Amino acid sequence: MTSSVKSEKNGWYNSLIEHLNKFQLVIENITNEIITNKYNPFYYHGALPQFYLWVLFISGLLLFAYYIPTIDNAYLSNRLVNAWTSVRYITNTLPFGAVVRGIHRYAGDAMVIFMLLHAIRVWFTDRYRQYRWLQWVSGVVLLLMVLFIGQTGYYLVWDDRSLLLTRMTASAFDAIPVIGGALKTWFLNGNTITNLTLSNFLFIHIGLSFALLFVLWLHYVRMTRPVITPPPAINYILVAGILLVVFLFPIVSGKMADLNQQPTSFEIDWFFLFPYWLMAHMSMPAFWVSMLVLSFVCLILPWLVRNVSPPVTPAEVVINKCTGCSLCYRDCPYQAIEMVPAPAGSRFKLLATVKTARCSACGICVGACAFDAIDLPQLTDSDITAQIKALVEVN
Amino acid sequence: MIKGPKDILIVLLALTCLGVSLVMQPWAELGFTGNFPAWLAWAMDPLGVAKWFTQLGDTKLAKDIYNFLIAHQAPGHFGDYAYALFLFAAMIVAAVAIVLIGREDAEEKTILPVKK
Amino acid sequence: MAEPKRIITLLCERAADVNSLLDSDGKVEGIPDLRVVTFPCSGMIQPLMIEAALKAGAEGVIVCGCQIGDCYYREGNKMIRERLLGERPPGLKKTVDRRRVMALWLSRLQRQRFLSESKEFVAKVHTLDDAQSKP
Repeated sequence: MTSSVKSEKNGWYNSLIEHLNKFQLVIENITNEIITNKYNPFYYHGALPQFYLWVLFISGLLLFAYYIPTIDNAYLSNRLVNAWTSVRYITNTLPFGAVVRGIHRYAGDAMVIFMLLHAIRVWFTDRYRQYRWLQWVSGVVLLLMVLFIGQTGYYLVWDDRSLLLTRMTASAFDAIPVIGGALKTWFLNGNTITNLTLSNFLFIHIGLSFALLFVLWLHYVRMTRPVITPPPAINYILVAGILLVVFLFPIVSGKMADLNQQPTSFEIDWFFLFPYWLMAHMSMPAFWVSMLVLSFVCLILPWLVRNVSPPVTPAEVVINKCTGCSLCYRDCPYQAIEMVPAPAGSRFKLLATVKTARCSACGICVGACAFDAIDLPQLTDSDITAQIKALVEVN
Repeated sequence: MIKGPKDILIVLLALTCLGVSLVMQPWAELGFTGNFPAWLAWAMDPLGVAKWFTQLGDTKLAKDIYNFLIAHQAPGHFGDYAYALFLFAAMIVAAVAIVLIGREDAEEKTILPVKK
Repeated sequence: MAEPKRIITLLCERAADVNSLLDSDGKVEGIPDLRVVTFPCSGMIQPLMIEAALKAGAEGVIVCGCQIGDCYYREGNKMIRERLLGERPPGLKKTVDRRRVMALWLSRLQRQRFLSESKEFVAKVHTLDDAQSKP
């Protein structure tokens, strides 16, 4: 990194990031030695959770075809039909049902893992601040949504764990001042747990999953040609990993939920259900405050850290040289250049303009321009050419 | 076409992948035996294929998988879990083969082609 | 030729950490003819700059960016790579001697690799020069 003025306050932070970044580079270099940069999963760290999202959509769709969102314990013409029995039917009877259910659950866990790894790498390599703030903020929102969607997935099985989780969530909402009661009523779709509750859970689970696509659009919108698909070799390994886990850890539902029972403990899936562990070990207000503070800190991270690198001085178009060829607009990685109609009297049809808030001062537009019509103010074309000439010519 | 030990390895990997897919998966579907459904048995029995699958079911691997699933109280058809396990193996083999072939294209150095 | 010839490296500041290999004169240790110009991203390199270097008398130009896939600004190294290969405008003029241009894609820690590749390139380019006069 070029030396820049770093405030004393952030000195320890800069040095920490420097070390983490170096550690990251060492691991990636070793990976490159073995499987080359073409297949290095670290270079596709954003595409990995995206791939698992497709796995979740497909496996989820297959499960949805047979899932019944009711809680009835009454018999329906000698056969009990409710959410729990539909899950049992899928798991025990349907061909490949147990495996598809396993794929759906473990792909969810894998998605959380890879989202966190993605966030960590983005953080270590300092690619989340300034002009990249929208990617980071939408990413945190995505993580929160995925965590909640996963929790609703655990409610849908409607075994005794689901019942306990539902009750804990309802009391968690109830503990919120002012709007708590309304939130609880929304969550349960009424005042108590009924069939309406479970169909609400299903709606949230599926509806929020599709809403993820909207937030993903926000996540990608400021990037040109975002990398969203890993190469097939990596995709095989991603699916293979899930299949191995499906075999090694077959999923067994708990007993059917019984509203007259009061289950008190459950097996915890740490990726999604850690908030419930927290709820069980601290008071509800403390739980909510810590969750909100943690989420808030994560959301504002791009603005918390200052002076890690110099502020961005955006590129500037040299208007009288721009021919409107649009090469800079095509090459800009952050959608920071827009082609507008050229002013009246110009020979050309279009003119490039820089959206300064999105500009990263990378200079890729400078490299794309054959007419010297765009410059980074602190390092112009003529500066560079002068430097080159000075170094080449020997005195 | 086959130039060196690496190419031989790639061919072996491709054959393993194919073998796992074509042989192990139907065997897993049949529940580690040769119990073909009636509509297929008329074709398989004369060929002796059913007997071969049943013998596969007596191998140590088959027994280990079976006992593992029993111990974990796995619900559903055991064949499906074995299917998943073998798909896992086939996919890993496929990925390794792809990487071995594709590694050569990756570059840390670009030399510009000189047109004549 | 009486004067020593220079080879210019157009280097991205996050690629191989060549700046730590420079002595006080700006010379790369072990390769006296090599000089370095640093950019925020290898994608900023215009083919015009490479042409300017060669026209001013450089024997060769080394472009060095980050590992393909790891550009800090996402696509810069891919951009300059495609420009050099003629897959993306703007490209190098046809009159440029392609043997005098080489590109490396190295992470910050790969200094030794940079040195060994550069030495090899410098030696190769010197032989080119001995065999023919400069265009």
